[in-house]
Amino acid sequence: MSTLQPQAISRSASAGSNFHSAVWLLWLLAGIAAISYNPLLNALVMVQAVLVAVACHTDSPVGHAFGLFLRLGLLLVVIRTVLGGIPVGGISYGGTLLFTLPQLKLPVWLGGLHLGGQVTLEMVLGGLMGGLRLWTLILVFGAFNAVADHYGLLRRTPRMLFHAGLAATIALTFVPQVILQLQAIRDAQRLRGHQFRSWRDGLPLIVPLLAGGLERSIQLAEAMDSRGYGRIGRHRPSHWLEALLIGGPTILALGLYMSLTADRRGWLAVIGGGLLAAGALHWLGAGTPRSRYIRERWQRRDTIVALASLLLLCGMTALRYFRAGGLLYTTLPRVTLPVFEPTVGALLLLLSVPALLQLWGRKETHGRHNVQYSTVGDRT
Amino acid sequence: MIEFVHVSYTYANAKQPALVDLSLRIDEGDFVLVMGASGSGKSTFLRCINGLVPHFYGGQWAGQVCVAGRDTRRNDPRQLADVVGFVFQDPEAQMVVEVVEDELVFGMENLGISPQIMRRRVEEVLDQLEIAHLRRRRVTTLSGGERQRVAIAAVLAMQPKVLVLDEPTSQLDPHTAEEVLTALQKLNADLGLTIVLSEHRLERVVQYADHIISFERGPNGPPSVTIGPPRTILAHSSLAPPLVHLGRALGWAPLPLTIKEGRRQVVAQSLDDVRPADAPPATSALPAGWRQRQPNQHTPPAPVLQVDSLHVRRSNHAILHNVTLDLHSGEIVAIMGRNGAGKTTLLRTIMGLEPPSQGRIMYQGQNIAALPVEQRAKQIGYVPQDPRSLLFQETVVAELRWTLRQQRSAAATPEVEEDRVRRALEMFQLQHVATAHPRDLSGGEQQRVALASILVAEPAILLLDEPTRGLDYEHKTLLQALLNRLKDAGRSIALVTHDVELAAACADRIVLLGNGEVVVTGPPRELLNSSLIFSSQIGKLFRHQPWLTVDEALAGLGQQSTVVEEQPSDQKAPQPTAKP
Repeated sequence: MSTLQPQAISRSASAGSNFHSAVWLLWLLAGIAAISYNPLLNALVMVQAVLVAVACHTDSPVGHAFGLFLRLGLLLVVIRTVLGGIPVGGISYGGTLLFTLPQLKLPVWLGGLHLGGQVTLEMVLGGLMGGLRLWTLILVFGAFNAVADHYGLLRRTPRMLFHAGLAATIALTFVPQVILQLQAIRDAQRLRGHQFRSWRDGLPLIVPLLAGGLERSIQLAEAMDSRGYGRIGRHRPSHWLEALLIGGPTILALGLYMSLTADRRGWLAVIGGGLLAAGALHWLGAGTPRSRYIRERWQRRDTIVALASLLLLCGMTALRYFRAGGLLYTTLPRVTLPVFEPTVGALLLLLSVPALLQLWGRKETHGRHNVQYSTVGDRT
Repeated sequence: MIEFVHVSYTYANAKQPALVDLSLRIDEGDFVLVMGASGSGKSTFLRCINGLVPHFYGGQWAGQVCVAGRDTRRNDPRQLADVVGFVFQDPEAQMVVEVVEDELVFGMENLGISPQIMRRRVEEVLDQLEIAHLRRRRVTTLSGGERQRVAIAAVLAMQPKVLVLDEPTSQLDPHTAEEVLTALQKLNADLGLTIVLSEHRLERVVQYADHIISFERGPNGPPSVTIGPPRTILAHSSLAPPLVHLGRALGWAPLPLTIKEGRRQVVAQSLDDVRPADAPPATSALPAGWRQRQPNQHTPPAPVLQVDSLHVRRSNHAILHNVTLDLHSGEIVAIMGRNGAGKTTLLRTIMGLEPPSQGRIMYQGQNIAALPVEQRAKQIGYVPQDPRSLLFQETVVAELRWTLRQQRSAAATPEVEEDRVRRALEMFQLQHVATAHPRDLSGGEQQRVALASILVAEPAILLLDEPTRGLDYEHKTLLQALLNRLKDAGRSIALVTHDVELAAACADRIVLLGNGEVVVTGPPRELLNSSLIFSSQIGKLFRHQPWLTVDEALAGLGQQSTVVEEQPSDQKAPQPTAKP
């Protein structure tokens, strides 16, 4: 290391994020795997998602948007409960009658169904359970959104997925921009004497907001294009590589279909197809010039979270495979109390490992970002 | 370096071609200024250089553009990214990443530059654009000027051979603009970087340019394009900075492009002599027929709007500190100061969009602290920086009607309203676009629609935030005339602007804000003449005369007959006499 070249930068984690981006991806997978039919277990997952979001969120506007997910999820719970509670076609399940709704026949062009009838506790609770599962999923995604460094993730998208990356970037910058713009437009409308009393008064906002957002998106796409985003090498991909790129996902989809029909060979096809597609993407990307300014350094805490997430992922898969009873819960035929299995609960607690590490680490270092400029070797 | 060969281009779904049979060549190391009225095809031309036209926009293309030997038809913008760097007009819309340092490396990573070289280049551009202190900041927290410098740095870091900039200084205060332009000029001189730049405020750039490409809009056909040295082009073009206008009117040869060159003429003809004996203070030295620019003597003593020791704090940080400002009827006040001095906040606080922490705002002697924005809007019209945020109806007429409907007063009958709409359209020369969609209009037209949509309600006071941003000279002159007419009709106008020429041309009083405080208030003649940065070109040229605009200088020189009549040409004739 006795060159005159300046040193490359590496940080303990990329801008703002507290853990390696790959670790967060793994955590997301574990979080999704942890969602079950058991409301008690789901509640546990939700609490931990909130904990992680609060402890590890980044400083970006998106990092502060977790509350939005919380509220969106709550809205979905309400909708799902109402929809679940209303009997369709006059058929009600369960025996605990709550009240009876007047029957309503939908017009033929809406299917001619009968809505309403006997509303039972079982149905309402069933809807609520479904809503809770959705909310849990949204919170896990919301937490991931708040803690991950989006640009770090973008760097990881394969070059051949150029359009996907472009769309993702635009979407990511779109949301904070829209929030800022919303305020500006709202101000502008009030300046023209527009009074906001109900949601209906917000309608004039939508046109300039969407039009402005669209213009901005086009400008951003233009700027990214001009700065070489999605550059590919001079060589064109060979035909067999292209064939692989199409063939891989096809086999994957076929495998998924087979696994649905309980054919165990399906899983083999899923794994094989996935590997083929990933390989094709990798080879295609290998020929394109691209470098990284910041190396995300893998630290011990990253290993801990990765292992915890992997353990959770494997554990949940195993529990599913052996159809462990604690994961299931249904309100039919009659409402019972859900069973809480302490072993499964303990397994789920692994989800909050990043939050615990973060809270513990903060006490030690008095700094959340722990950005270090240190030297690494000359490897490129 | 850049070669256009018989290029013709029509945008998809456009009726008229944007470029017709354009052939020209830009040599390596040239600093080229692209000028022309808005909508004359400047932006299209610039986008041809890196292949955004036609690759990004589609449309019909004929001809060939070669950049550093590469044909843009076969190379799309991504492939040309290592040769051409492009800086867009709106710095907010070109930021891809959240943190400044990551933004700087985004392009380099795409080019596959090794981390060691990236590291070095980041340090270099941070220093070149003087933004080293911003490296860890989030892009959303930066001011407009800072963002534009980051955008330029991010492109420079890729070390392109050609740098294309689309109105890079339109949002910057005079000082920051000069900094950015000086940085560009240095890159051009030291590194031989080819620079192609479009700009409306020619007075800022003309002095740096080796060549000018001028887009003159035909009556209704495609623009005619000429390229040549600045002096040749400016001798005939309809757009020219004030200094050149004066030079042309007085028949100066060679045509002065910089204040220094102009002063040489002034000194040679001793036009700026101080004559303490017969030259009493500025105002009384004004020649006869001089446009009355001082606040009207008949103005009643009570101001229409009074801002009384206003304080605004935001998260423990003083934005405005003890600001006091009076606005009389029939008066134009220009509020100036550097980026982030609190100018916009002052206007927003007057409107009630931001709460003051202390102080009073009085409208005709009444405290309006309790009035909500919608109520204040009936008396005080405010046009924010981005006029587009005001517009959302399908047609221009609908915009005007909507404002009236929101502020409907009992007395207004439909006939009265229609009459108001018609008068507003007339006043702002919008009859021909009355049924057009506001978003399809050019920048200058959108600005006028926004103004009309506020003024149709006939507020007594008008607050304007950067009204000349992105306007060409033609539209600026139009705006000036409009402001003067409103003022003559007894309205009071306060405008926030970086545009010294605008302030010089129409303000009665200038308020200079610095760091949230009023630094100084006074008539433009005193303020703009003695300032180094906030001074008009004519003001800089004649340091000892009270003139700020071309008209004033010409009128003033008409008085000093002996000197000017020695000139061979007719001083008032706009005939250019400069040698090509």
